[in-house]
Amino acid sequence: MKIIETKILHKIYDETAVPVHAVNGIDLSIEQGEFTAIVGPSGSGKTTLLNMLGGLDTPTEGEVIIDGINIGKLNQKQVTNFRLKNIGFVFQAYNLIPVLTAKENVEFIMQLQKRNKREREQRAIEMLQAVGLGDRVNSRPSKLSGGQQQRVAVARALASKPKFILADEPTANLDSASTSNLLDIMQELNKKENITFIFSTHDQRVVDKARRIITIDDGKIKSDVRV
Amino acid sequence: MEIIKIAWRNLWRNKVRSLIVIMAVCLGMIGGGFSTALMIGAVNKRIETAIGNETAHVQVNKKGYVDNPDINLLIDNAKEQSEKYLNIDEVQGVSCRLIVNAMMSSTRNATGVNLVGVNPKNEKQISSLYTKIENGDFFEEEKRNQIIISKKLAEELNADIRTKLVLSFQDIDGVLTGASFRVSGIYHTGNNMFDQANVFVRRSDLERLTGISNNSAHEIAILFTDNDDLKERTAKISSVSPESVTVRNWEEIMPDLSMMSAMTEQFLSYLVAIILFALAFGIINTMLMAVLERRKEIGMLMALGMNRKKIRRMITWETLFLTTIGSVAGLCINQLLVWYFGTYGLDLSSYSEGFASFGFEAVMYPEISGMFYIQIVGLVIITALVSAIFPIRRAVRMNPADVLRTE
Repeated sequence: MKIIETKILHKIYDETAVPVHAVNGIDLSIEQGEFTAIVGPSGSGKTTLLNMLGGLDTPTEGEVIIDGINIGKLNQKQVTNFRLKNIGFVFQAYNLIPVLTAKENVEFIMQLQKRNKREREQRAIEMLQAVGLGDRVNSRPSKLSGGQQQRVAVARALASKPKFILADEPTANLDSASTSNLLDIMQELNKKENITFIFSTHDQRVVDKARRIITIDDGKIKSDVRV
Repeated sequence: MEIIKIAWRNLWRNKVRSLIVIMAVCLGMIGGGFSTALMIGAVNKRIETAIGNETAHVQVNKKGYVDNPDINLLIDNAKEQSEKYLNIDEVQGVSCRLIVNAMMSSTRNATGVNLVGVNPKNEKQISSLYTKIENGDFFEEEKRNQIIISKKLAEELNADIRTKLVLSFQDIDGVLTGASFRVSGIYHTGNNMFDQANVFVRRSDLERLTGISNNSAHEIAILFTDNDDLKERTAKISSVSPESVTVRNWEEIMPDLSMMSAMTEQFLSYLVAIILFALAFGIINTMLMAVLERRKEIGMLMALGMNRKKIRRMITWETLFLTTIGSVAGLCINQLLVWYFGTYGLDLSSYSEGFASFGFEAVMYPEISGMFYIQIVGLVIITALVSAIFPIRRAVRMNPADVLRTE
């Protein structure tokens, strides 16, 4: 089942004298349950593409269709709400709320979704257990290692029951052991729960685990390989 | 609920910065609140003293007497009139006074005074002057030609208890007359202007010396049971008074004091508003720093799906916490100070000369109304909400993609 589709997607940054064509006519289709890595050198347009897939950035031209909905047609409020209900995010710098515990961080997104307290607590604990942090539910981010924080971020992304998870360089700040551990968890969730993961990454370890590798350069798809 | 929890915890991320603003708000509240309480206390005390020692609540005079205090402008049938006033429920006491201008001299000095003839028993019911006697007594002995003067005049005339003073004045026929009086009491009200102008003798002595009948008075002073409903009660007095008299309450007798009372509250509410206005800049600055420091985090929250309304609510709560903690702490400390000094008094004796020349007492008793606190809390909330506008605008204008990309 096709979950994401882009049609002749362009993004031009016009802020400087020389316009930058960050994404240049990308046609892409991602199926439910794929474990996809978008790779390419710095400045190739990976993050811009990911931001457009996540509704964080609007394309200059073209369409992003998620589960049949053209998100370019939604207003700002609708897009925010759409993200909340359909997309999970994992960022490079963990980006947890520092004043909340691991459990509260995971619960927070469900609270935005207006789920009841009991369900929130139960699911938050389940998700943290799923990422191997069942014993750290009450720790604040400052008390967790980088790898653990990133796993909380994955738990948070999963907690909202998204259609897919966008992970922008999720392993960039992690050591080998943490990276391997995180990737195993995500791979398992992908296999068991059929959750779609889309990574933008430089990291060969992520590429090695991916089952589809899309290479981008100069805003264009250079290769799209299914392993 | 989660938003409020986050806002509360965010407040304590930078404890020192938040505490500095909270302290500033707290001190501002104490400064504004205590000066308000002090001023209101001083003005109320001044009014209480003026009513108690000087004017009573209402004065009745013959028409024309106020503009031209002629000895012949007397209220006739003063005793019957007094009875009518005493029959009104709210009236506590009535005193018929005779007032003549006199020259008072000792062996050392001479000065012009208002010679007030009073019936001591009646006067005690309407005036607390007898409690202000520092030396001697208030006509306790049934002797002729006793006089009560102020400490100020006693110093000027080098007089003391039992000192003989000579008073010269006109009688009812315009003939210059005089008599010597012995000082039996020395009073001190704390109001220099009043103290310097007024001396008191028995009414019977003044009747005898001026030839005024014992059923006449230059002034009938009336004291009510309390300060409520002044206008309505004044109207009641007027309704049982003859056409030939004027009835004035203390607000009309001392319009300056009445105006001061009204203006004090107005002025002090401006003072507090100015303090809060100044504090608002500190609050805006702190909140702006807090928002700019957390750009990435706010961008992340937006990316996750936290809408702008919730971001707005979060920052508003943070600002409200920052402002109200300081305000509530400040107002609580203020209330403690008001209670303490309201009970034991704030002694400003070193400035007493200055205060006394304006009629104020040296020991001040601050007081503050519950309404003041309600108004201040309202102002504080408005300040917080207004202060939050600018940081909120900065936060909600962020584009999550830009913020997350640039970090």
